Amino acid sequence: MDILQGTLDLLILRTLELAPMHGIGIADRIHQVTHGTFIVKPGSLFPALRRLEQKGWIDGKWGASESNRRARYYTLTRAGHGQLAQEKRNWYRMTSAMNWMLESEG
Amino acid sequence: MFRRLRYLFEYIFRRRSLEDDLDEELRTSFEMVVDRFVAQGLPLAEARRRARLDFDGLEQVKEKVRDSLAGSTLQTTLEDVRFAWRGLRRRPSFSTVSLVTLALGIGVTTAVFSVFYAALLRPLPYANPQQLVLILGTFRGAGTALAPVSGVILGEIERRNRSLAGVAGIWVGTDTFTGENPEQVRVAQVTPNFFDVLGVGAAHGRTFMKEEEAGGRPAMVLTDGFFRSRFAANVDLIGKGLATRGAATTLVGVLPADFQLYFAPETHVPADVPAFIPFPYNIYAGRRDVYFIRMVARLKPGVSINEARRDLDRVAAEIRGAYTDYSAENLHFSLSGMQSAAVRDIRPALTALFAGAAFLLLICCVNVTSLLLARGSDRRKEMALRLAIGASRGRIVRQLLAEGAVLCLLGGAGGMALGWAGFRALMAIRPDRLAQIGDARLNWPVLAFAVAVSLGAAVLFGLAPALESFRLDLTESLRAGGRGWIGALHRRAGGALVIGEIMIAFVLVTGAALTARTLSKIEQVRPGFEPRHRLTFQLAFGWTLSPEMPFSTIREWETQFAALPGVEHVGATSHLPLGDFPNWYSPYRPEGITEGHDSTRIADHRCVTPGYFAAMGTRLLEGRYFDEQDRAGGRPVLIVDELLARSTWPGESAIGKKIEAEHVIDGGFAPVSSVVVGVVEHVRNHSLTQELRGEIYIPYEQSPRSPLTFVLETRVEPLSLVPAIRGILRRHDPNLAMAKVRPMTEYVAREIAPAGFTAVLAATFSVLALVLAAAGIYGVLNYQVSRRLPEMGVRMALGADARDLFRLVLGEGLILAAAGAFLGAAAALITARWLGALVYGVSPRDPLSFTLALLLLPAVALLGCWRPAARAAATDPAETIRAE
Repeated sequence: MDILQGTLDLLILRTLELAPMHGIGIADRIHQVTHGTFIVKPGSLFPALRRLEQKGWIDGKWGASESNRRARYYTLTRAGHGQLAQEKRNWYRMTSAMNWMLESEG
Repeated sequence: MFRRLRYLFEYIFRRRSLEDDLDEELRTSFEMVVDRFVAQGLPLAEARRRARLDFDGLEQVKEKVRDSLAGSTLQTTLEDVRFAWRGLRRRPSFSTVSLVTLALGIGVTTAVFSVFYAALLRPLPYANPQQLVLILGTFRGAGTALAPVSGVILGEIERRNRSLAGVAGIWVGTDTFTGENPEQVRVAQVTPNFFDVLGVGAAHGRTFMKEEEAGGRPAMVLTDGFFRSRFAANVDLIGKGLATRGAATTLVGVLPADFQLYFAPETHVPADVPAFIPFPYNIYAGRRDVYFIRMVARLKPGVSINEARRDLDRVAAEIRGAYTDYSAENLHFSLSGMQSAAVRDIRPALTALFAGAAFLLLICCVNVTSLLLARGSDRRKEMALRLAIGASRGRIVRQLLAEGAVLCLLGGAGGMALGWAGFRALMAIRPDRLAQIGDARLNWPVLAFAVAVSLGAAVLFGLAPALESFRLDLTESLRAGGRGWIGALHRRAGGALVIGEIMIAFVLVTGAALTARTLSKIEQVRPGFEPRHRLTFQLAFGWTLSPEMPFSTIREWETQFAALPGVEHVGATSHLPLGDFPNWYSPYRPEGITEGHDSTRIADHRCVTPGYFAAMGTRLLEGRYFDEQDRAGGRPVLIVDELLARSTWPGESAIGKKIEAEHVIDGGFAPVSSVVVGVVEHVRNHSLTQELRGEIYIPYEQSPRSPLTFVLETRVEPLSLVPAIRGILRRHDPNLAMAKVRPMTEYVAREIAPAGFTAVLAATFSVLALVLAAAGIYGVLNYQVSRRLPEMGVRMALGADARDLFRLVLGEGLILAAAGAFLGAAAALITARWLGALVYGVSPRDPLSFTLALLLLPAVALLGCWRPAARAAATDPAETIRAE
């Protein structure tokens, strides 16, 4: 399933809330947690990471991966935490609104 | 925010490392995915293939990342510019032609408009210049001519008007500053309110006060330039006396550096008058029929010039009611805005030049458009290909914009340089009548405008191929090889552009031919004297209209000058033909013709010494020249010109007829009944192209005036005599200064200058237009031939030979040229109506000029067609059909 425009940022921020991760790790994690609903391709992932980094919500540092390769690990910054909280609120408001709309009768 | 800025900063200055970071991250991530596939048991090669599928192109991922970043815009812009630059360098002929075309269009328009603006549009440097008006009188005797007025009339206007805040008068004479280096300069006599009316204050000291009227208290105001050159800008001199040959005077003030007079040419008030004094006598009590005062007035706030005209019509009626002589003269006033009057003479020429420049800019834009359209069509395939391999549309648009921008930037820079050089050149060859634009500068707004126009054309048409490629299916346009609507548009528009160019070029060529013919006609004019081998110089003896004249001294000088080796004849006159000394023209009354309104006539009056006509080479038609008997106290005699003789006594000889003509007697003007003893040819006193009015010559000693201009006919180079003459004058009076030491040819050259100026520019424009038109035809046809190579191939395969194809293309070009020439001839005939003021001696519909254009343009068109036609003829059928 395609990821809704704008939700990829939320997914990445949420994933990084739990632990610092490298790019492929983030994609895998999203794939796994959403039971394969969302597949994040590198073509969307890396631009999104750079964009979030530029906005100061995440911070990338080079480190060693589990298989001992060099990998760029991303952590959520303080601004990123704030952004995540706000996007969550927005998301809940939107989904409830969508639900009301879809479930309303006539 | 700070972080973003830092990021931007890093992006710009540490781009390399950021790019490396990205590369590294993508590479390691890719390896990670490969690792995972290997871990799932796939062979390495298969794992890599699957990973590549996941990543669908590392380069494209990178491109997307770059696009998502701030700062990337700047980066890609730089790249676009670099790319555009490379692209332009790859096609040197296209680039050179476009750049030269753009630079020409921008440069020529800027240069010409800068002059146009400075001369015609820039407000005069006076306070509220739109309130300033010139007032001239019209008198029955002067016909339609606008004339200065008498002091009495000035006084009446001052007293009776209700629409003017102030009215001032000026008369320009000469005086000599004595001392170490005596220097004769123009000195204007003005009413004390003159500078107040103009709204000009003194830079040092003050201007005139009411008490300084009529010689009440001597005072003088100098211009900044003269104050610097003669008195080293020594402000301590203000309030002190100045030594002049005229009355003793006191320097009271110095004018601002940019001060200049802007009176209309017909007022004969020159632009640069270095010194001003109040009228040293009571002008209001002078003779009523001596017209010499030029008036400038300031309208009351809120009063329009038309209201002022009505007001002065009333004033004129009141004056006519109060004075029978002004009633007989049917006195009226004519008002004109000072600004528009100052440029009336030069306006037609400048407007025509500006129109020419605008036409050139138009041709330039047309050419650039045509070039870009042709180029754009060629590039459709390239665009389609780049879209196909993944370039974003935005990126392609940016790139095309960048190309347009680079082209225009370079063209604009070239145009600016050319505009500046052209402007300097124009200022260097400008005729005297444009001298008023002294401190003209390059006009930046118009440079910006010209750049914007060409930029607009370039960007618009540069973008066309991209816009087109978006509308079409990619594979479709790849296959079609670029023959979409741009091609169609260009086929149709190209022809129209060529026709337009030829048309404009035709108009410019006929214009140039007309101005060139005018110039040669003016050069052939016999002005009523012989300008070559004549030295002229002016001597002033004092202030007033009639100083004590040492006649014997002047006679003595003439004898001494004549004795100099190389001198043939010597004479002197009060007013040199084509000189800038205010004209002396007055009514005369032929006796024996019953007095009535129509019997009052006006003629130019000149006082001359006996040798004058011989020295000038003015031919005697009847009777005799003045001679030794025509001295002070002798029988009053006159010589008239053929115009006056013909109009006054048609069909009769003028010799022996009597005229009451104005003489200068004891410092004032008085009519004296005199006998006509000779008739000479008409002398064009004011303009080479006009026989304005009749002329009356009076023996100098019977009507002495200052200044006096000497004329020496020489066998040697005229100016080589100057030291010897100066020596003679020094011996007599060390305070006597020679002014306006010039060969007579200089006065004639100055008259020819405007026509020369127009002719040079018109010729330049038309040559440029011809070259551009040839380039335009070449561009359009060459493009069409390249489009139609397959067709040519087929034609050839079907049996056409090279000559047929050559003729085919040539024919198409010539049809366009013929259509353009036809329209051009029509346009030129229509515009001829506005050229009347610019041509002399030829009809604005001069057949010769039109024939020239009709011959030149097809020749130019042929030149432009030649190479495309040759290219068509060289088609190799096998080659072109295979390519298709």
